[in-house]
Amino acid sequence: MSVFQDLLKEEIKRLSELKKKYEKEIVSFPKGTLSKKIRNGKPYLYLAYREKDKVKFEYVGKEDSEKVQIIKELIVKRQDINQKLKQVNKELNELLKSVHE
Amino acid sequence: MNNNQTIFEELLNLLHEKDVLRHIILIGSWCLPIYRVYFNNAPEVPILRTMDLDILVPTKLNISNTIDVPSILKSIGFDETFSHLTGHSKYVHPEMEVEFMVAEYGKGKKEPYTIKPFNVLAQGLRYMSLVMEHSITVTYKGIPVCVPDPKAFVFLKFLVSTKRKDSLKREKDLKTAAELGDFLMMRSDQRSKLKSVFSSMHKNWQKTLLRVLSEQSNPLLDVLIKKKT
Repeated sequence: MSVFQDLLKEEIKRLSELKKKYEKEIVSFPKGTLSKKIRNGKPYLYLAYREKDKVKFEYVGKEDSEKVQIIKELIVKRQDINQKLKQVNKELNELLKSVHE
Repeated sequence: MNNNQTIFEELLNLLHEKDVLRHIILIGSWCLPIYRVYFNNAPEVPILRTMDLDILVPTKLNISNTIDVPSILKSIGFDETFSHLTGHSKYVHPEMEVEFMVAEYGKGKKEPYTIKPFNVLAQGLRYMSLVMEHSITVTYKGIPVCVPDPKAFVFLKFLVSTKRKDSLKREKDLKTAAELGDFLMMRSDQRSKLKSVFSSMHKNWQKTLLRVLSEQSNPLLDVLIKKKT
């Protein structure tokens, strides 16, 4: 087997492991985005996410609360992992295609 | 196992046996499988490597007798050739190519550098003092192998990318550096020391590195320019 094919197989294995890792990691983060609602003139934040065909709003807290800050950070992290997962999927698909060609 | 992986391990074993390995630092993409082991097989560590195995020979070698490295390489099927451009020696195997490097300072020179204790002609390379100042020893398949500290490796890849004329090689350098850098930033033990390695670098190198990171919109930039609070 050629060096190139060996490397290709090795990279496919690595990317598959990475994909599994990201997929496992991503479910531990809150899904959805933060949505602001004004109640009696004051802003309150809700976690908005889709469940089946409905959008659900889960109360998080006041805009300046610690809980909101934590959720914001977690959402940024989830988006980052999501981005990486997309990239891994893209590379993996390209490699798998080239193996089967 | 891959053929060139077998050759790589055979070569490491032999260089270790002949007391060469402890004097040299492995640089280039073959450090990646070593990092994979160092980081407990983390899949985030990229592993794509070229056929070129680059070996850095430190400026001050503490060896009393000459060790004939070319004959060691020849014993496992490497042929000695010489670069047409620089005259440095290359050891070519169907699965791999070995080259020796030394740190180049100042204006540099066109001729190869003679490494008498190893009987090889090496190529001068920029930024190598960074590697010599920041290296680690990793036990790989039972053999102690000296490689650049992964933080220095990431910085080096970004810096070297600015010198590349081949756009494919430049892209590969940037991709490897970005992937490994990203992984290091996620690890608290590595992230906390990124800045100290950066601070130890020559001011001009720091500027070049920050410029590349900015061009690449790499999040490492924030870590390096963030002031201590």
